Amino acid sequence: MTNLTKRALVDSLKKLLGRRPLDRITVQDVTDDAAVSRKTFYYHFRDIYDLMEWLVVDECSHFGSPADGSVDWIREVADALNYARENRGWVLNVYQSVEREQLERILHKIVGPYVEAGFDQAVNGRPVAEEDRNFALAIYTHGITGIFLDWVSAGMRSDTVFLEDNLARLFQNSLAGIAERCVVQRSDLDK
Amino acid sequence: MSIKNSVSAFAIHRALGYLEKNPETNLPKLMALIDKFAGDDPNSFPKQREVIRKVINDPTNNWYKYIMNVVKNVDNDVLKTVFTNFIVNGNLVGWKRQEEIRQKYNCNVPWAILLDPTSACNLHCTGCWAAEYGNKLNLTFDEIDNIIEQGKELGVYIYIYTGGEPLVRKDDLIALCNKHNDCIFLCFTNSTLIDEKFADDMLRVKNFIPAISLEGFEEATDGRRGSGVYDKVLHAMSLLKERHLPFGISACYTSANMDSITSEAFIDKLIDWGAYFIWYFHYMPVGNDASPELLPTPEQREYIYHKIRDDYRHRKPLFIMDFQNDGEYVGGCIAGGRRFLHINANGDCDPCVFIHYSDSNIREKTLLETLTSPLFMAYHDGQPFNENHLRPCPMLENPEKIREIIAKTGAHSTDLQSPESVEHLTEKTEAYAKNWTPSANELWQCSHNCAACAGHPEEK
Repeated sequence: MTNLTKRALVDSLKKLLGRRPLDRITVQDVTDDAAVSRKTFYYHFRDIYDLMEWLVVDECSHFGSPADGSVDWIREVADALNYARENRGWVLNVYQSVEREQLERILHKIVGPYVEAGFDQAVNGRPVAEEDRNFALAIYTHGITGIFLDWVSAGMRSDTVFLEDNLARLFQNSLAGIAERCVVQRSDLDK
Repeated sequence: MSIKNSVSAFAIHRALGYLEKNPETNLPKLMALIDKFAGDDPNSFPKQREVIRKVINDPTNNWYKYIMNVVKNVDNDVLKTVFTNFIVNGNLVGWKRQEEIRQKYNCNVPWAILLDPTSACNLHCTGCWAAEYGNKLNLTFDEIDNIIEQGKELGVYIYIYTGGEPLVRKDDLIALCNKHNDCIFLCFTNSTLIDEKFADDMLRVKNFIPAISLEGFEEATDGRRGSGVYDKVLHAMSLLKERHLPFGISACYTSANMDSITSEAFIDKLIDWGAYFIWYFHYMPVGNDASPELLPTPEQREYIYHKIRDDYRHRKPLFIMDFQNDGEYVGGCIAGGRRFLHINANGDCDPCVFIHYSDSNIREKTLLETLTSPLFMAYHDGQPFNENHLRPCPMLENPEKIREIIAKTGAHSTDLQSPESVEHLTEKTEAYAKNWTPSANELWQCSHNCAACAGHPEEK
């Protein structure tokens, strides 16, 4: 049981998702396509949703993680939206069949690190109250995820200039501004 | 599960998270939540919960220490999973469902299902009937999966692997644990096949608990199981302890090893190694080649009865069960599907892991059809086989009972290597049953002398 097996299962699911929504794909369909046994499937994954989650995380890992130092937010957001559009087939099929809560949970894990990178970039090593930091991260992660899912549910409009501009601005300006306000002031430290 | 159930289960799950931070304060709070979830009706295990509640509120008690050990040393996610699957699903939710089916079909519905994934074993221990089943019989992944799906429909969330050596089918077991993440899987094993990868897999699935077979210390263990086995067991236990994985020990007591296997040194060592329970089994002279000389004498059986009940259970932070002597806590014989049944690697449904006769095969019948078959109904109608629960077994202490049942139902021997007639089997236990009766009656009288005895647990 190696990553090769997982890769085969993921590729099969992605292929099948190109044709029909997730709730009409069974574990048997995937194992038949990948030519592995049910046992092999269940050794790695609890059910079809578990495999789907792995697929989403795996696809998003192609973006790499937020680089150290400065991030080109406009570029990152544009890439993300383009990617979703290019893969609209399986993305929409997943969206149709999976509970929004589960999708949010998966996307938070992907969007979260980017929000963190933006926040930490602005803070630049200065002390920050943990509670304030966590709250800010949560607000932006939830917000960006929500906006993205709304866009998917509306059918992924091809004209995304407004979305790209505003999402980028969120990271560049708004998040940075909030980060500044979270920095613990000298005077607070003395109290 | 109903909506109410799932919301309450979620709350319990959250509460378990708080245990990590401050168990001393939060454990009583968790108990209060469980009480609220369980409710008041007779199916909510009120007596058991009362016992646990008392212990939780008494820090000097060895059971308090035991619970603290569990809460502090077992991996927190594993603890949450085991708690949810064993207590919430296996008992609170599952029991209610089992009771519904029991009423509806007037049959036994088990609390746990024992099954053999394979008859194959990597060891060849003296006197083990499992090793004698030479042919490599197997239940496929799909067959075991189906048994579990059927079981869950009936409210069974607890599965126990025996064999053979179940770990010969490691990947299947992990796959089943992964798929059925609402169940708990115990596994009787020699543990020699537990390696780093398997231990990591156990940590990943979180619902697999091995019961490792030992005969005592090195000499006793290697003497029966083969040279070097003891060291391999020690290694396996260290892999588990490293990962904060819970496990227990399974030990068979015979006339030859009674002293060593019940010694205080052995018990203390088990606790040291990281074991959380030990399950003692009385030697059963099953199989054409089994020797009745290994049966414990009445004195020896009385010895272990007192040792566990009057001594160790009051002092040791270890959950000790004596399958044969603890009958009174479960109302006598629990076989025949009453609390468990056994499915061997050929699919034959035995009433008990020690009683190799069957009239149903899981490849031909459903679980429910098996439970309503003549053999299992004979158990249902005949239990308890004796009012004295120190003489619970239809083979060991009441051999005329198993003869009657087999004659009446025509169940056939499921030992494919060397089928044993029920007459041959019970010849070996007749003398034992006669000899044990006086001691059993005395002990039973003594512990049930007074109707107002505070220690008398209600039969389930």
